[in-house]
Amino acid sequence: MRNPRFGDGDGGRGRGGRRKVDRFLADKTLVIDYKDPSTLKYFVTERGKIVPRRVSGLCAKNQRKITQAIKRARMIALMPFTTVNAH
Amino acid sequence: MANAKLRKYELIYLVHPEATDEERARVAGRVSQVLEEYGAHLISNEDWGKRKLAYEIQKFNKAYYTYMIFITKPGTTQEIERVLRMLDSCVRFQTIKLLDGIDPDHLDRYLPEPEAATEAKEEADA
Repeated sequence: MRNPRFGDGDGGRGRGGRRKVDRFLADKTLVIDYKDPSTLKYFVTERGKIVPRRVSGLCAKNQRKITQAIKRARMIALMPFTTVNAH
Repeated sequence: MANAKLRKYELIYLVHPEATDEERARVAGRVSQVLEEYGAHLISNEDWGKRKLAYEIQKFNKAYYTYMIFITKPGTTQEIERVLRMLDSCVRFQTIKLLDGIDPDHLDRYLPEPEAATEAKEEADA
């Protein structure tokens, strides 16, 4: 039986938005590596912020790994902390 | 405590983009000197060359990257980091622990086997 409090049954995604799947679970050959910025870049915004889990669609474990990897990559200047975009 | 457990680390260090070949060799030499002193087992040592930085470090946009993997006793990385900190041409470094509690008696399990040895083992198993 569906819980009426979470009525629409699509995981609380009331308006629009497709349920994303965890890319690292879908493709076992993909690994999270801080030395590989080309994979990590999908999980940061244009400004360089880490994308939240509700947007990235990663499972909790992989989101933690991605966060760790992005922070490590930042330390050795493989990824930016911020991108200075003067408007 | 005769048999202290070993650890596997990876180290990335960045050298000043305007460093001469001698300076770069000096940094590399100091690192391998420390590794030797501590009896570390080097697994790989890659030169990534001059790469673009994601942000400026000391007003520079590029740096020479070196990436190493090794197995060694605890305490070695502190010494490496101390040495790198003293070298002005090294602008940034990062060590990451990959594995902990490696039994020195079974060290060969963690070291990449030379191909000849692998073949010999297969023959022995057959």
